[in-house]
Amino acid sequence: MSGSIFASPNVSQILNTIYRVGGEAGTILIIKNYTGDVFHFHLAAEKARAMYGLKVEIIIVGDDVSVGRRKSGKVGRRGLAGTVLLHKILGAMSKVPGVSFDTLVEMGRLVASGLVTVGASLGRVHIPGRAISDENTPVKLNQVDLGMGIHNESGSRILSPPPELTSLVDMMLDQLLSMDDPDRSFVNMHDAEEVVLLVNNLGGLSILELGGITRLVSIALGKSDVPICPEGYGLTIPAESRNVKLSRVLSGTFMSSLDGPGFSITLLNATGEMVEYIDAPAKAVGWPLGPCSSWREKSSRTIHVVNGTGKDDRLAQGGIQREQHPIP
Amino acid sequence: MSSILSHDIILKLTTATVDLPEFRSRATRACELLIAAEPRITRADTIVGDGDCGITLARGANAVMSLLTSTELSPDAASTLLRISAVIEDSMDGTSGALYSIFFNALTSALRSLPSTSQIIDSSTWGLVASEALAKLQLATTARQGDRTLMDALEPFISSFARGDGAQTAFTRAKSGVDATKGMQAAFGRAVYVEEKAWQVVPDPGAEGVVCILEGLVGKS
Repeated sequence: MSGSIFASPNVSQILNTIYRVGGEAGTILIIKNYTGDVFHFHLAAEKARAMYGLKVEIIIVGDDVSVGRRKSGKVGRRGLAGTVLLHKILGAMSKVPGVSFDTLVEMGRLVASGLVTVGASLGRVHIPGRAISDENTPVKLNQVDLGMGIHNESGSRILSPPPELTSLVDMMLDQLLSMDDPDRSFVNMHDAEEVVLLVNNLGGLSILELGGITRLVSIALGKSDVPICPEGYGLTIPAESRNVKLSRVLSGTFMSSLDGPGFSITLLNATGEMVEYIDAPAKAVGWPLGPCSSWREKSSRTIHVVNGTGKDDRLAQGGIQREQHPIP
Repeated sequence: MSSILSHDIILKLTTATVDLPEFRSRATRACELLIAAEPRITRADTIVGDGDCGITLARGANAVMSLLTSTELSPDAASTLLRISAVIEDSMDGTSGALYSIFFNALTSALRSLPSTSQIIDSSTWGLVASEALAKLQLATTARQGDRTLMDALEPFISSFARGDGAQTAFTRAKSGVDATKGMQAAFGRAVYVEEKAWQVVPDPGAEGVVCILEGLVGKS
């Protein structure tokens, strides 16, 4: 459910949703770490328990790495686009026959603990209905906000003059991956069974731009089979990769901030089971319809296509080849 | 479709029982003390916060007082606490409104889980349910004793009371907790934004409010 623009829904809205939509086994509230949301959702959960005796658990996501431990203090880190992976994994897992409420909660907490995200943006957003002013002009030409959130607060670091995309991505990956930074180093991706990358459009990027960013991030992380366009469209290809073996790459508008002219990078230290739940088909608006497994490392599996339509032979072993059968 | 959220709905809960006249008199005393302390709490909050703490607490206390004088209260513990929770939520706002609402709703759900009995709830059971409610509140906030918030009064009281120290000793602990906030560094709330020297002058206003309530509930030694 949603509140007003950039505000938490109120307790009545949340309680109404728990009461009307919540399943018999119980309700898991997946929320992002913002003081208003944390209070309102906890209050609604307590009311659901007190008034109706319902089972309600809360999972709080704080995946932002841009504001380090020292500065975020007891308030903790913000919740960003990594939350979408938690929604997807628990959504798919809840369909598994016989899975218990407590197992879902446990899985949710495990996913939350393996998420890191950082955002960047060329400027703030325009709130519909408000007059355009210098303050909310979507794109500023002389700066980039690093550590951008999703509620139109300015970035935790303003980079001016704006760096080139390749070095911006480099700074972002440093914040996500570095295990030497005592103020960060939240999740170690190098010991992960599987790593999932999610590149999220904050709302204002074109599909072409997001595709270019996704490609650059994938290469910088260590994905070797991303096609490299020789002209590079003006982008410098990162000289060295960080040797993070990506199991899945997701790219799209998963958690937007209205027309925010920016993107965020999320990494999940995942298990094979989590990846299966990410692969499971879903019809939610905004989730890519095609299986993200098409981004897998090159498979050794090959496909025969007989007469251009031969369904039975498609999964047969062998090299990818199209057998030529002249049409009579 | 009618809203489920109307506070007019009477829930037929059967849980444990409170001695209603006794409960009324203690709770009323707590509200009176809170209202009387409003100017002092307001003054303190003007120094370290935004000055609304006393007024918010007094508004809640007045609303609870009028509930206590109504004939709607039943001796059923969870039903009564649920009504009080609803009144608190409607009358108080801001962070303290949220914290009080979460705590009283959590107290209600802890009471709901008690077996149904006509026996009056004893102090060890109150200690148990209060500890459960405190644990729930601590899920909603990372504020703990030592952060210059109302937790500096609430935590020492509940942990001492649940240990079986008795109400008077527990109340003394809460009072020392509040005194200790004088000079304490703030980690939450508006107090974080004011000049540090203001922290030396007054104790935390939110914690002072809790002590007023506890003083009324505990009664005369």
